Amino acid sequence: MMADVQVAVGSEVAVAALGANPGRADRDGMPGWLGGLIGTVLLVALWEILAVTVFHKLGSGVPRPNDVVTQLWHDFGHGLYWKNIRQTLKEAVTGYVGAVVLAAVLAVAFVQVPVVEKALLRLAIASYCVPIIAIGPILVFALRGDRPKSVLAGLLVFFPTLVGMILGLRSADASSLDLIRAAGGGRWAQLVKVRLRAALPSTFAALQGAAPAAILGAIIGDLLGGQQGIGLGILMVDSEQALDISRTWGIGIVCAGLAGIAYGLTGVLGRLATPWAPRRTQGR
Amino acid sequence: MTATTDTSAPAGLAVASNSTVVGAALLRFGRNLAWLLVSLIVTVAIWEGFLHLYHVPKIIGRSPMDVYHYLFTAKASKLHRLRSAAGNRKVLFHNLRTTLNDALLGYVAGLVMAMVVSCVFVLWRAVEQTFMPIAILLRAFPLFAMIPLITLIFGRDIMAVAVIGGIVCFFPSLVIIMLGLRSVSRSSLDLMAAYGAGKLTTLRKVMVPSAVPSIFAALRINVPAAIIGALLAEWLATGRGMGAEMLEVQNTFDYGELWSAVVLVTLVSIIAYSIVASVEGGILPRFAPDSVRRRS
Repeated sequence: MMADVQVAVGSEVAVAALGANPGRADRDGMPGWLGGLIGTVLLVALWEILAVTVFHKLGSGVPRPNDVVTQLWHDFGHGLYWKNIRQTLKEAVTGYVGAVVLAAVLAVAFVQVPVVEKALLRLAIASYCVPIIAIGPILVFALRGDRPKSVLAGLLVFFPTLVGMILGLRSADASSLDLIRAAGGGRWAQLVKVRLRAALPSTFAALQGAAPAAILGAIIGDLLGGQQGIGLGILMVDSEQALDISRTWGIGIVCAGLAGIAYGLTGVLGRLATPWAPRRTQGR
Repeated sequence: MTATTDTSAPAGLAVASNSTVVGAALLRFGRNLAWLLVSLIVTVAIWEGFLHLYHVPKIIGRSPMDVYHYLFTAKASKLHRLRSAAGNRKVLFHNLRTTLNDALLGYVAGLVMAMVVSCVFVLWRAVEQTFMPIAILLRAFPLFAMIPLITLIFGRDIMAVAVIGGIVCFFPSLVIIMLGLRSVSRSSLDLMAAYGAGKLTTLRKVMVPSAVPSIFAALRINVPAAIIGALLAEWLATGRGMGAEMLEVQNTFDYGELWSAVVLVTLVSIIAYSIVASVEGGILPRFAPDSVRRRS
């Protein structure tokens, strides 16, 4: 069972590892950003066409891209977004940092002291399986203020990060580990001299994948009850209830944009911190 | 589960006598049980600690004992909407079944879509370059904002469940499966090219088999995601099952039910996850011994 879990746990990090860099030129094609641009233009065009034809006839609340952009421009001009963005970011960053620190401590403990892993790995999986929609309201009542949102953000970040870090620590080169041992070093010397460095690429991949999740977690926290105060999710609920559809979609785009920026920034950070790491998926 | 660990056991074990094998399996089973107990104790400790440390008000917070009482020993009373423990269980399990059905629907829809789309992406590179960045961004677009649109197009029934659950499962699976299809070795691709194989043959004979570990990873990590997707769909679209019940409970202040529901859903989710993980652990060594070695 334990072995299963270990084999099993392996590939959460894949999520982060793939996308590796959507922004880079590929060997055999156009640069990634150009593809993304074409895709975006196509998507917006499709949206425009559907909005004025099918959805318009259905009498639905699908705004035209034009309206959404106008609304976005207007709302940014009137400073509607900045304080909400700041608040959501604050919650997300708090949860992210907390979860990453906890994951780092646990990952080291798991790898260094196998007994700890046996006792706590199931718990870590449980944290991934807890339905956040259900515990969100409980947290909102129990903790109040910003904290439930940070906790939700942290919950989404914790498990994938933990897995990424464990995977990294375990990926250390066997002969380097043997060398330390032959020179008289123990487990901790192996950790400090070999494992921590070996863990960096996979850790940063996990950190990158977790960054958008943190922002999503903070927004979900807003939706799940804490409908007082400020935050992008609260803003979205408000505008949804006011039937202000263009604004609702605009907020959605801002959320996705924030997540994209978080993904990009952590990616750049990872590349700067681990310039030796392979960045391309093999095979192509 | 013991069977799967056998396959990963050293080859020497296979020659050992039958009774030793059974003994070893029993020992392993016992040890696993012991560790399961330890995890349970730690869980209860953290749960109780959370309630006390944060002074969670009695009307909202429920301890593990309260949940046990709610599920197994409660007598019919006003506090529990005139339901006894048996009644509580009946309501919860009824909703759980609905939710599991919904989760399965979203799970299958999302994974099938992800497999189809990733094959298309691999076959036509331009399509991938055009839509992959968007797929990564869309992962972060709050589904909540699209729910009105989804219910408008697909109604508030089974289609909405499939679409919402499918979306929740789709994006992570797409990314993982793509990674798997790409992980095929250069020399295999060259070999296929040398024999004049077309794109489709290459996909079928080389890329899909090398993606098996990734497909399993997607199958496994989407178990909790599918359940969350089902809850979301029930909460925002269909108004039945666990997701809707959890919402309603907050209006009736039946927090015993809410906590019990959280425990049940988490348990089911972990069990399903473990089952998929065990199947994966049993099958993967045959398909991709390298990947198993690399990961352990």
